[in-house]
Amino acid sequence: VDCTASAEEKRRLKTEREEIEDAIDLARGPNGVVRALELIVMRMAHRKVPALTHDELQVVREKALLAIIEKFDAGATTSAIANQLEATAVNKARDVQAAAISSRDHMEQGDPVVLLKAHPSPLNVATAVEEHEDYNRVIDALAQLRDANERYYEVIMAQIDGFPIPQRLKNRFNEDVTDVTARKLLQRARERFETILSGLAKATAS
Amino acid sequence: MNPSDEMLKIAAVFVEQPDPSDRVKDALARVKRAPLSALVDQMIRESSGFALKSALKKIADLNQGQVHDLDAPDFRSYIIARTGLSDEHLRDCVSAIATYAKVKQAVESGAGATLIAARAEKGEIKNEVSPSDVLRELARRVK
Repeated sequence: VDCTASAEEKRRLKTEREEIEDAIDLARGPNGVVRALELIVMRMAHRKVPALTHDELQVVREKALLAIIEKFDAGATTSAIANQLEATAVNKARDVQAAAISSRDHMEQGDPVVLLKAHPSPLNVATAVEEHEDYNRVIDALAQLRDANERYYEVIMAQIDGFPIPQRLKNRFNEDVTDVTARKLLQRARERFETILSGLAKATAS
Repeated sequence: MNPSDEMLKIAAVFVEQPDPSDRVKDALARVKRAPLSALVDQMIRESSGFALKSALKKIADLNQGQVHDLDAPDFRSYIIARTGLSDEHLRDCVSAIATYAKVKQAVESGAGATLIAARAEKGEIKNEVSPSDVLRELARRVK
């Protein structure tokens, strides 16, 4: 068995390591810019604990950051923090998940997320490009979608979190919708989101 | 580019709260000077005209680590990458910091002060000796 990493693999690992150290240094720098570090931490957490909802990720974001800042305060080196970063992110994600299990069970009770199974998301692309600028573009596009139509935004978030859309709309807006209406809303929300996203991509390219 | 569900979920976190929480901001604002940097700051303050001063300042400015971290290869490689110091220059700095730290520890425990006071040039006893004084005495005796 060939256990040696290919040159390509070594280059990828080196780049990832540098990206992580750069993000840590930006956070501990004089301006305390934490966005890049937050993105990395959330990606690590989500990969190991994919069932986290975006609300839970919000909690993981803060808890993991506070744990890392404690290490800054103790004088830990960037290299040491980088070595432990994934473990820190995943531990916090598991803590948050354990705390959220009971409420999530309650939310999903009696509803097997039929809508999701019937309509797999076309947005689920395995080979997504994960450069920071792309993240930033998606963040901008989602923010624009929320400003333009909060129901569409909630519909998309319900789908990616795995919550039934009718239940989400009932919780957020006290609005009763049928599965048929939810499907139509989802289709329109996707179209609107993709239009915003492609508009932003064109603006960046020009 | 088509965003993945993971990307959308993470993006939503920033849409709902664009900036870090106040707790995170407060915690960042309260981060203390790292022990290694504090030691090197003191070393620079006490040692005027020190040849390694600018290299040491670059290490202090990283604001991280403790003296024993200087033994870790990944931290050394990080320092070289971030400061542009040569390997040789870094070795000199590490050696100077380690010596200073040892002397400081000896002075603080009392052993160094007694030792140096017993051998001082004019035979006087000093109750308070700084690590730099100790190092100066050592240099004088070596000459």
